[in-house]
Amino acid sequence: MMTSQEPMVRVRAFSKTFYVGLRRKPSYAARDISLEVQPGEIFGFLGPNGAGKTTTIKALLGLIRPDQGELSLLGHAISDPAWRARVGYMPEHPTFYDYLTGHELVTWFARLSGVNRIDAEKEARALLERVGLSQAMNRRLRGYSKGMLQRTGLATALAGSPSLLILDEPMTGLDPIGRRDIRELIMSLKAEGKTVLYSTHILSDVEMTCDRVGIINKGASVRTGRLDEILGQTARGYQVVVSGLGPEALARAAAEQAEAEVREGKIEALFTERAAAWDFASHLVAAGGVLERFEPHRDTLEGIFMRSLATGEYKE
Amino acid sequence: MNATLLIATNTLRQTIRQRLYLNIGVFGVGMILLSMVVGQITFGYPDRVVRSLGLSGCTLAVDLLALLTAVSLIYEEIDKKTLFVVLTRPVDRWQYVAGRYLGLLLAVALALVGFAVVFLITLRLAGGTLTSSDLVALLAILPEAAILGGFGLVLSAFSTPTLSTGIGLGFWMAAATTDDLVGLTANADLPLKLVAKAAYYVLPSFARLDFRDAAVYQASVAPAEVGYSLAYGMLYAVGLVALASVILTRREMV
Repeated sequence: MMTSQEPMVRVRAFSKTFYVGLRRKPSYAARDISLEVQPGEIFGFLGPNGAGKTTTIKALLGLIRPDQGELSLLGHAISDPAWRARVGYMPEHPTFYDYLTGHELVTWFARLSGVNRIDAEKEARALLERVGLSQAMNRRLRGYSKGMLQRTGLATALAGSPSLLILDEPMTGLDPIGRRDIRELIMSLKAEGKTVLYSTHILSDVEMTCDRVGIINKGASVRTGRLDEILGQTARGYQVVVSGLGPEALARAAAEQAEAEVREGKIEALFTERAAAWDFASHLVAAGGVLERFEPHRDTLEGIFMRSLATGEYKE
Repeated sequence: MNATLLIATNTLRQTIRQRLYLNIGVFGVGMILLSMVVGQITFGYPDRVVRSLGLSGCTLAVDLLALLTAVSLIYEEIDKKTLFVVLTRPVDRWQYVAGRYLGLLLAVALALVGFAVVFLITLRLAGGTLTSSDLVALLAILPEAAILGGFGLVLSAFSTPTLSTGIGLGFWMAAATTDDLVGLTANADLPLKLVAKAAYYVLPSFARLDFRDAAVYQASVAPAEVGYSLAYGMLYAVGLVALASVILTRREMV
């Protein structure tokens, strides 16, 4: 039974090795992955190709057996089928029965989750409208585009009103409008109190939607935490922006600093030390400039992600 | 409706919407109609020719349908990852296998009913009338197809459709000749005899499910014999479905 403090998803020290080929050569898909997803949050699961994201998701859903580690969903061990009616899953590049219409497919999945026929049909209609397929719901899936199949996959994952959504690369292959729609849908799910775990490569989507992220690389957790904390902890220095100086003064000031550039009549400079930044700003203000900005320079998620993978410096 | 029945109805719909179903349907009907043509150009007993060729055509078409459909039933679902989504719902793997198999059986039975109707019409046109031995021969096609479908399903749980089709056709031929194996190896060396004996006990015997001769010569068949044959076929098929369930339960969805 799940308590209010219990995480919706828990993975502790998960490892999985596949043995491939006739010589049974080991392939380490996951070595030491740990993460927790709390109720009502959107969790971004990040990592390069082959990092172990899909392997972890499959182990969570009971599709593969972990070699080691403790995995649970909604407070239930993976081997306990009690979580199944409350979890929705969408695989990467979903492919479904192409002889069915979108409405038939989503109805079928809702019924598999235990919803009766009449309610399942109603729910399917509402879900397909929600993902923007109201016009196409009575067409067979073989006539759907890749983006439409992706949306159908989401509707399928939502069938049966699960409280936890696990989405494997839900934005892959979508155009910018499709990505925006999926992002908005994920945000609306959070507003409804649902929990979402999704894996992705698209960092800008994570920055816009996720409360917490977990970064993995080569089968091991590299960093896990709240997105604002991760971004906040990694101030790379201080940024100074000064305007109101003449072109010559701007050029002179820019020449004095290695990490400075003139843009639209303003000088923007980066410093690793606060004191140096303050000296630079004071000097320019004394010369008649207007201090527009003096603040810690935050890293982007992409920067953190790339450095985490390259150095492993954030390993917890 | 429980998960097994939901999967079965979906599998039925999937199977009958496939081109393979239509193609084999046309092939089976063609075989039955051909029997009438051959019956017309054969001296005497046109109804016997229709029974012999027509029932053989029915058997061939239904068996092919069962095997060729079954070999891709699970494999394609894994390949397309559809199964991954299904198995994250409240569906046990054995329920999934049972549902797929039940749907296949329903589709095969539906095809058999269609062929039986065409056969009956053809027989009437050839001057024959439907007898109980014709019905027994037609009915006995179902357990044979059930075994082939079950075997195809077992292969489908771990092998590609192409490879499974090859192995399935070999199994089909072996099962059709099981009863002859022991006789043929009576004078052979001991190892070969043992292999033949083992095959005799392990493989199904389609000869026990073949009542076509009785239909052609209008011989009566004891109800107990029919019941035994049907039970034998269906039990063998259930064993195969259980094996497919075990394989899928142990399999990792990589």
